[in-house]
Amino acid sequence: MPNELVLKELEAIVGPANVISDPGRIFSEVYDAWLQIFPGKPPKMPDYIVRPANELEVQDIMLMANRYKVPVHVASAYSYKLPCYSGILLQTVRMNRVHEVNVEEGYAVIDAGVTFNQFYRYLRSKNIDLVIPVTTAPPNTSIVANFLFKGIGMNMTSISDGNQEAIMALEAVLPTGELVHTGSWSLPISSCKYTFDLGFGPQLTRIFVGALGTLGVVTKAAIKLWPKPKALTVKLLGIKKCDELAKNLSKVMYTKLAPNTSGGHWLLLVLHGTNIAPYWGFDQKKKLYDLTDDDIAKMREYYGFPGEGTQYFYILACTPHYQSEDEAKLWEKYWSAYLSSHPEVTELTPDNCPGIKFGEIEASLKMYGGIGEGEPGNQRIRYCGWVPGHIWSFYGSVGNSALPKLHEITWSVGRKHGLVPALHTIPINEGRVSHVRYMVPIERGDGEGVKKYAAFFGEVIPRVIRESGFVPARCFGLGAKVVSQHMDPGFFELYQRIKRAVDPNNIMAPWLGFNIPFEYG
Amino acid sequence: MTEVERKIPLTYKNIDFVPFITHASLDKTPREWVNITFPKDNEYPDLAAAKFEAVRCWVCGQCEMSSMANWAMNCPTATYPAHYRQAAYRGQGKHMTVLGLLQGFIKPTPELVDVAYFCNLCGNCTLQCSMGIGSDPVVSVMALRRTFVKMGIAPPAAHRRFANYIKEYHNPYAEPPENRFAWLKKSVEPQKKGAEILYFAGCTGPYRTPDVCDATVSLLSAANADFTVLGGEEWCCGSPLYMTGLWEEAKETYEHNIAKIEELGVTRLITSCAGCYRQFHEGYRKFGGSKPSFEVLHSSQLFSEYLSSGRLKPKSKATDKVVTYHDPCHLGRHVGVFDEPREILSNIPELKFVEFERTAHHAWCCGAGAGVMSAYPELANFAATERLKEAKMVGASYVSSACPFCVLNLRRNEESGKFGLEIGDILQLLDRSMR
Repeated sequence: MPNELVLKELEAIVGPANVISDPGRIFSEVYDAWLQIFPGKPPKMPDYIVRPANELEVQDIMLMANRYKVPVHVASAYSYKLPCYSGILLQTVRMNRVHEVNVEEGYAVIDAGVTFNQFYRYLRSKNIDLVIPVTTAPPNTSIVANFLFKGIGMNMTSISDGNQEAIMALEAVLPTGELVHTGSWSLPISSCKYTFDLGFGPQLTRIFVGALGTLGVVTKAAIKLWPKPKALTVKLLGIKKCDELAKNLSKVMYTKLAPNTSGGHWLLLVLHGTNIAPYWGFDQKKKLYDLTDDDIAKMREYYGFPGEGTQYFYILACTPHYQSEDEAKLWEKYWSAYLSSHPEVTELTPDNCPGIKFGEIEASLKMYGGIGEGEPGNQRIRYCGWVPGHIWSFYGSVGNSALPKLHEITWSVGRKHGLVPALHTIPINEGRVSHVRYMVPIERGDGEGVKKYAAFFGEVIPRVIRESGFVPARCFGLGAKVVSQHMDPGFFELYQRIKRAVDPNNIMAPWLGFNIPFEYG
Repeated sequence: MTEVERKIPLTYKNIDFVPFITHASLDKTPREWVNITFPKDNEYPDLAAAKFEAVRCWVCGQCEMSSMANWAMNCPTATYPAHYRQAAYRGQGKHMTVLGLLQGFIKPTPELVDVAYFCNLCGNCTLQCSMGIGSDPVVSVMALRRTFVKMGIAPPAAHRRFANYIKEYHNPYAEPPENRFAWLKKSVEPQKKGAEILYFAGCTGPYRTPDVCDATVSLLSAANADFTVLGGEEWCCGSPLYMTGLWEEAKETYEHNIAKIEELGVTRLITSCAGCYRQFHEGYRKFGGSKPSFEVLHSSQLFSEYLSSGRLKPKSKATDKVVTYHDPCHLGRHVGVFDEPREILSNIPELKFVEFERTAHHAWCCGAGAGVMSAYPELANFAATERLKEAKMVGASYVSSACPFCVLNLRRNEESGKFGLEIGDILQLLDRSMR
């Protein structure tokens, strides 16, 4: 509930210009139109949005919130909209300073609100040829938030693409207002305070990874930097079957055919064949979920993909990084050897796939994909295949060997309900795990499509969790229910004890985490 | 023209699929397969035009940046410190506001009126979105402004004021209408029937930057062009009225000008003002009626043609300074005229030229347009200052443009000489080079 006293205190802390109390303006910040069914329910809204400039203001806000028992939800630009039911939404966008970049030791100390594009512009302006791990986030999102957001979506966490390894130490404000530093940063005179995540006792940095702000507000982080790759190639590999895809994903990583510059964090995109219209050139007039088997066959013919008829086809887009053009040339013969010994893989070229716009895809992967140029975000590839409308998606992680089973279930359930679930995956944890996203296009305002999706979702989620060990990300509702039936009870207990210890008044995003009862006073 | 080595490379030149926006404000019709109805459709009928755009927003927030100018922030309103990166103030927020109103989740408030009007309508958001999703926030902004005007809660007082001035004085500056051509030193017969060219001077040129008009007329004379002016019958083109949601008033003044120009039987209309140019270029689509019988050209297009044909032959160096070119939004991003101004500059002997980092399709707005200079001078000043800082960053000492309104706003923010920059129109450089 709005509270004039709270508003006055917030304005006194950060200045009136940095507090938003108008419901219309708050609405623009929190409304997740991406997921909205039109017309739908009103979003949950905070009472105020506050934008502190530094950790001191954050501390004051937390102390005030404890006094008034007002819930606080922390976000960066809030482009990834977790629900915020009331109270204060604390945005870190104004905390956007780059404090230090150390080229010799390969680290940077940045505020929580520093974005990918801002950081890269900073590096360029200083002629610093270092990069940070790529993510699938838009370029104007927070680096620290993305690296930390591996997290508890209501109950469960699974977005773990290894980026959290890039954080070596951090500064945070606890829910009770204390300022803490983790890792060796807990000893300010330490010569490795920014470069060694272990300090004294347990690795407390990791408490904040995946916590989604339930255990404190991270205000700064010391992140790893890696040398910028000097050369980049793009390989598009066509593969007929999902189990062959999974095997080749692993092999390509282990044999280091596609080496990387950031400790295993490089981008492979697996674009299910039906993902490709219209961006990749196929001009079809039908709504994507009205595609029939004939349409899929025609698409195959149009592109010249390997395989036959309606057999599913996969494109593995590899973007290896090399330290020189000579190294890139050297690896070409290894690629050739790999391809000749793996007949199930076909390298897609303009000759055998005349329908694909190779130049455009390559330019996009290099420019937008956070690869090679080190640029952040990969919006064009991520949205590849999207037709004007709406996409419902679900995503999470699965062991690489279970990917075929996951896909077989999802595809068959999807087609049963008249949908085309398009797979997009990124290998994480050095190829051991696939971070998977299924995009299911539905037209905006199409009630029938929404019903189909609801039926599909209701059937597929329990099955993929139980039968292929899928770990859902951002897991609310049904997914949380299924997972909680199998979750280790000790895990819940440990989290709740930690939560009570650091947040005795339960003010940090009480609606996230594991549903500790919340009382708003 | 020699290109000075850039400090920051332009990545966009490596890509050959840069689109420019093709929207023409509100003459888009929703696609037939989007049949969404909202609870408040009848309450806000003017938001219907924005529906198709707003429902496609992915809430990614890229509208505030420039993907091809090294990911710089490129939305003045979202970069303005007091509103730094607030969703409401970037393209995404305009779409969300439309959706919120149509679904009844929010109601119009003075703050939402502010959200709708604190915007230059520069179109960067539309361009950035067109590179990924293709929704048009400018349509949402215009729909919001129109809705609020009809509800009687808009436009802001400053816009009402200049609307009254336009009605009374036929210019937004409350200047005597008889002084519109007071700057004209050469003998030009006004309202000469059958002349080839009608030079439409606009309002900002004559009343605030007459040196730009001087240069235009000087070049027309140097090219022995057969031209005339409307004299006392020239009224404001109506662009400020249209941009602020006062469409009836805009139509009235636009139609007056069209009628008077048609009476003269000229074959071409030229103007040095990007806003006037766009108004005449697109007016018949906005207001109905048929396409004018005359060709509409920006002065850069005409003089580029004259340079190519040899009617104008620059002889001398115009300046020793390093020149950069600021693309006016109404000329560049909205209509697609990027090359002709650069061709003019490239014909000037020994001109040293450097591009802005945020240039061409991805140009940063000067901050003056769409009523912002009147109602939100703080935003206009901020945007202009940022542009001048960028000029210094790329090593320029002269900022040229092709719109008197851009020139005016940039000059105002360089008044104290703090940046050491000279600011002028490309035609002034060309005119200097003719001597």
